[in-house]
Amino acid sequence: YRSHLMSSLLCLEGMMLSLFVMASLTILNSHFTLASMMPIILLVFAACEAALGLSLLVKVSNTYGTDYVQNLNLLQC
Amino acid sequence: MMTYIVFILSIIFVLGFVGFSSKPSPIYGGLGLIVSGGVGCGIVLNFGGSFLGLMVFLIYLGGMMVVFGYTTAMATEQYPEIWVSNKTVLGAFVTGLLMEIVMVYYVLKDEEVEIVFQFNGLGDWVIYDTGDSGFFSEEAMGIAALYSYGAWLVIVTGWSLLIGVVVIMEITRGN
Repeated sequence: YRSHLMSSLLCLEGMMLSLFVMASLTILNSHFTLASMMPIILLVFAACEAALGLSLLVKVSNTYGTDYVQNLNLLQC
Repeated sequence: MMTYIVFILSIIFVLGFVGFSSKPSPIYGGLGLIVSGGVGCGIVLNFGGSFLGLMVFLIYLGGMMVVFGYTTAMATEQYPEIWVSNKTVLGAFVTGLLMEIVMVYYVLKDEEVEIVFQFNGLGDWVIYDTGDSGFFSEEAMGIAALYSYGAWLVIVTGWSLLIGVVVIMEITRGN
């Protein structure tokens, strides 16, 4: 059973999605109008983070051929 | 059924999350995330947040998931694991499914569930109408305030996006 690095990036995106939905519901429910911009800003920074994670995955995949986590074994302590 | 639509959508939301966190092959995980994203948009729409819900569709699914999709297509393996092909993945998915069914059963039975803090069945999430807001949508006005009260926020996020592009170009340059 091989673990992909991509699965961890997908789980990170899932966390950002759940934060977005939770924040939106709380802000809409409490009529806290001015904070409605916060979920959008959260989405912007989540997009940055996803793009950075993907670029690292591309570099790993270029070196090793696949993105298996077992390949990241240079530091052996 | 329409009074419970948010409850049903939230069950599908959690099942989508269980679907990708049980770690099948990334292409199927992406499918679970797309389902969760679509249903999450539906949940936000049901609370009156039309702009925020459609932002999920446009930016999150239409932007980020497309990029994840073709990166997965680039770095994928010859025999991808679907949920039923591997005992580990199937076991994790069934465990998540069972935990969700137990939680739904307790919510339907008692009207309130207390695990770490209290989830009230329908009481907490009724929207309180604090007087009428006239002819404009509050949420759209709040987001429009991004350009008046939140001008510094726009500058900071725009600059950090540009710096993010520079960082990614430096990472992928590698010689």
